[in-house]
Amino acid sequence: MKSRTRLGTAIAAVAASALLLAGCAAASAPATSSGPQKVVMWGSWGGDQVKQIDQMTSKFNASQSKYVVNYVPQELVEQKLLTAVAGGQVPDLVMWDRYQTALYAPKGALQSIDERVTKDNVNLKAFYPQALGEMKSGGKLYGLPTLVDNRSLVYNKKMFADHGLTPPTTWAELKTDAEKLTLTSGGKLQTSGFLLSDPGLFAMYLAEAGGQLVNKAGTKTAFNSPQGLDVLNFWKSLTDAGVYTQGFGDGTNAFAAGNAAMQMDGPWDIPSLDQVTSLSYGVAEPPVGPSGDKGATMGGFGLVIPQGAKQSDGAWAFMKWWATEPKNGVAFSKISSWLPANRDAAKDPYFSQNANLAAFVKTLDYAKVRPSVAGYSDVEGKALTPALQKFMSGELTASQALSQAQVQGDQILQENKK
Amino acid sequence: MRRQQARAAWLFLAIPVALFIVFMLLPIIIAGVVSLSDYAVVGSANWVGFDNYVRIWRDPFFWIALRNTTYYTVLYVPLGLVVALGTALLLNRNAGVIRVYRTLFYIPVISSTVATATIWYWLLNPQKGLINVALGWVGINGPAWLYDSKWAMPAIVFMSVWAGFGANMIIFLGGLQGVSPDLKEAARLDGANAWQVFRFVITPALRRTTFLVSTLLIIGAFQVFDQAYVLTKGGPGNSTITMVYYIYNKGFGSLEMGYASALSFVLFVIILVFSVLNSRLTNRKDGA
Amino acid sequence: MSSTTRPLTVSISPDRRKARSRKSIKSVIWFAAVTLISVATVAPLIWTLATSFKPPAEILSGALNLISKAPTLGNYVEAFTTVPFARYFVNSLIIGVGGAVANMFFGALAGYAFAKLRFRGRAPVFGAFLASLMIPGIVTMIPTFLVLRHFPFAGGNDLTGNGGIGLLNTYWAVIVPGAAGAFAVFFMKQFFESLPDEYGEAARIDGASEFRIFAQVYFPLAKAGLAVLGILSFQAGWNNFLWPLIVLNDPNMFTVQVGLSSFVNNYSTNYGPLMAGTIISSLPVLLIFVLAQRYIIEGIAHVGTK
Repeated sequence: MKSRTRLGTAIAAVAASALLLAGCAAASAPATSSGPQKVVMWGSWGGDQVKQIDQMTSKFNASQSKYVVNYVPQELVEQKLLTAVAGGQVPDLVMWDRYQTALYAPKGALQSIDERVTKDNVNLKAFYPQALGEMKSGGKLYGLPTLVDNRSLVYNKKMFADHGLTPPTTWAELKTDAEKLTLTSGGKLQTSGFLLSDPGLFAMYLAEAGGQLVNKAGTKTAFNSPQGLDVLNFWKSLTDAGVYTQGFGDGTNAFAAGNAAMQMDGPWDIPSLDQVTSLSYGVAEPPVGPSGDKGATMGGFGLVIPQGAKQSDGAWAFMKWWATEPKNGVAFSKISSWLPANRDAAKDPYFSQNANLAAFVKTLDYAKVRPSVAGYSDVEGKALTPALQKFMSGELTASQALSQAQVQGDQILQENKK
Repeated sequence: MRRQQARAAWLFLAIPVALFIVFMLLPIIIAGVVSLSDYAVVGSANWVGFDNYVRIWRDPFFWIALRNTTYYTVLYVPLGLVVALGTALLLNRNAGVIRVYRTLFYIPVISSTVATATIWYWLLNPQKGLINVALGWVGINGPAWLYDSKWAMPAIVFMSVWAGFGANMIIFLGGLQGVSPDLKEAARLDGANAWQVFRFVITPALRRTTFLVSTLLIIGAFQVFDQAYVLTKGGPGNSTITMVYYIYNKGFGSLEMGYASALSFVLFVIILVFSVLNSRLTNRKDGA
Repeated sequence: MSSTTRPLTVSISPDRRKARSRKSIKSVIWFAAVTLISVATVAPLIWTLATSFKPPAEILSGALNLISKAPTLGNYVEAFTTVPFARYFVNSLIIGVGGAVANMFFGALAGYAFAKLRFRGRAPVFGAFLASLMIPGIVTMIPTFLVLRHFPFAGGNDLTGNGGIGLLNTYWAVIVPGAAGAFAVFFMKQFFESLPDEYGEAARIDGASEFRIFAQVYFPLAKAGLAVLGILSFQAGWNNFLWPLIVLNDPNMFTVQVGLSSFVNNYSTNYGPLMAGTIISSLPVLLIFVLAQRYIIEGIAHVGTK
């Protein structure tokens, strides 16, 4: 009987050591190789977008023989990068949403590229200043912007032609056009004149109304203003007119399905829209606000080199190749429909000849990135958008929503100053 | 005999406990140390003592997240328990066709999040959704569900119960196998009705399973993340920001891992309190 | 329906006919109830299946139609050709089966010890297991990652845990941290507790060793519990997304869930291949469930005849 117990123990012990041994065997030592140096690039782009970036890296790899860039898509790039930093094994290059730079750079997680820029004589003036600004932190530059985007007015050409309309250029026209294009039957919305679904676009409307998100010093929010009220009243006038009801088109792409006449959309949606052959759509600049102000928001991606990257020279070579050589920027737009952050690339005839892309490029001239104040993304995510959602559902009035967001937003900015 | 038992117990437990110490206890201790610092994963960290814990106290979003999470738990746990037990009783028979139904009932558990979310968007749609259409038939004007800060959380609870009951159902089914059919039959022959059989035969026999499921439901409910994130991303009006959502947001979104760790230990204490209460409750039932 | 399937004990009752008609009404209600619930539970799978046969344009323009106007297998082809799905499948199977077997084995051992053996420290040790479930996994993620990375003598590490990559980038990194999961231990403890103590006591009086009591008396009775635990742990391993993503860097080791996520990007979702991949990736879980549930039913007979 005793031997039985021993046997059980022995089996368990063997099992445990087998586990450990196998663990040792399965892990292989990193190989050092001669020939071109391997540069590892991480990014959040997945799915179809991997193929797009792969085309870009193989172009680069073919253009020279010193480096081979390999893109590894990382869903949830934040967690992956943070654990990699914690484990001391970072990639050489990261492509990320530019606003992350301001969060990681002050903590010393990124390499400044100032010296490389001077040494290689990179013309920083070629970039959209707004996009370049997002790659800076504390007076230093931490990477180059590669891609920019904005939201412009995407409209259903057939519906506009049927009603004899041309794309609206002002808020007032937007409203009257949307009303004409809206179709209801049996008290239910069938075709939405204008998809007003995302309160997160407040920043764009506020710019069109001539308002500001934060004050000049970046110490307080500034959206609780007459211009802010103009935006919310405009939204309310649209929902009151019945051009959009909340939840319309959820779980589907209502515009692609032909159930909406207009929406504010970005260039990333173009490949999807192009898949629907029955859809004929156009793109126009965002309509101007009551006093004729143009406004748009800019977002997009940039490349950075993490601190501790083994192949930072190769990473820089690729970054420079993509961002500073206009023809490469244009090439990627042809692949992906994203717009280049390099203005010389954006001047390429490819963009002016494509009516849809041309509208997006024109909008870029006045598009602004989100404020670079510390804690601003929390102001938007935790204070402003929630209040606007409550406004949209009718739980708060326009002035209640804005003042509530102001109180909470100011508090967040105050916290972040410490 | 006792000594032999104790020795056998530690032999049985040797590997599980070793794994537990290395891969669970050690990381938790590290997290505990982190909660006393301003560790951001990147860059250097400083000791801040209990500052993180003090800060939680006056963090308005912590209180919002705690309120939402508690609300979710209070709705989800009883509902999840009743649905799982109810369906398990419904399917606790020994027949070929039952297997098919068991499998069908289990399908939500294996359905992908994308498919589940899409279907629920459609069901919960304010205008065209099946739920509001059905409410309309009986003359009720349904709410805007995911667009209304009062109704978003109940909607998420419904979806969570639907998506998760299958797993607890089979746990109950496993537990029901311990209920002797002879005992049930005997009770029936003694003239007990279905409710009495349930109350006096099945419930006591299932006590351990019920404790297991209710404890797991409480732990899971306080750590709800996916369901709320997928459907509403914390909205509308912060009404579905949950504790783990907020912890995630702080730790990985704002690089405040120290603060996120402190939040986690506060959450741990809250879950512990509720679990102990639940255990007392189940034990009292035992006495009755 | 159920009246024919239920093992009827012979009971001589004066108004048997009345009882039988009541029983058949009950059956009808029962049948209606389970069918109605089934409709609600199966809907997403049907929708997934329908979508997986639609061409891309139709998915965008008519997402809610059930029958495609131009059914296609293109999505399945795409799912298998864009990512090495077959390879991912094998990886997920290793992780799912490895995790399930480890949890069933260690869960049974530890659960049994906590349920049926008396020893000092039982309550606090079990309490520690249970309490560990109450700490959100996202804050122990980086610490656990560091433990794996600095695991002594693994992956080129020395005694101090430096010099190599530890257990990272191995299947062990996914399986081992959860191999004796607190859930499995808790689950099996509760299950063993519901089995009568008398069997063990009788065997003990007969002079059986503790291991023998476990292996020959209780373990065979735990089939139903082990089946349920097996289903749940396999599924947890199969569906685990975040942890394999964090600890595996080699694309050859990616899992099905990582593969599926590659059809979703920040700006658009490639629904067709995603749904095709989802259907294929649900099959193993479904299969395991169908196979394992036999033992849940066998459990009835076993305990019943004892």
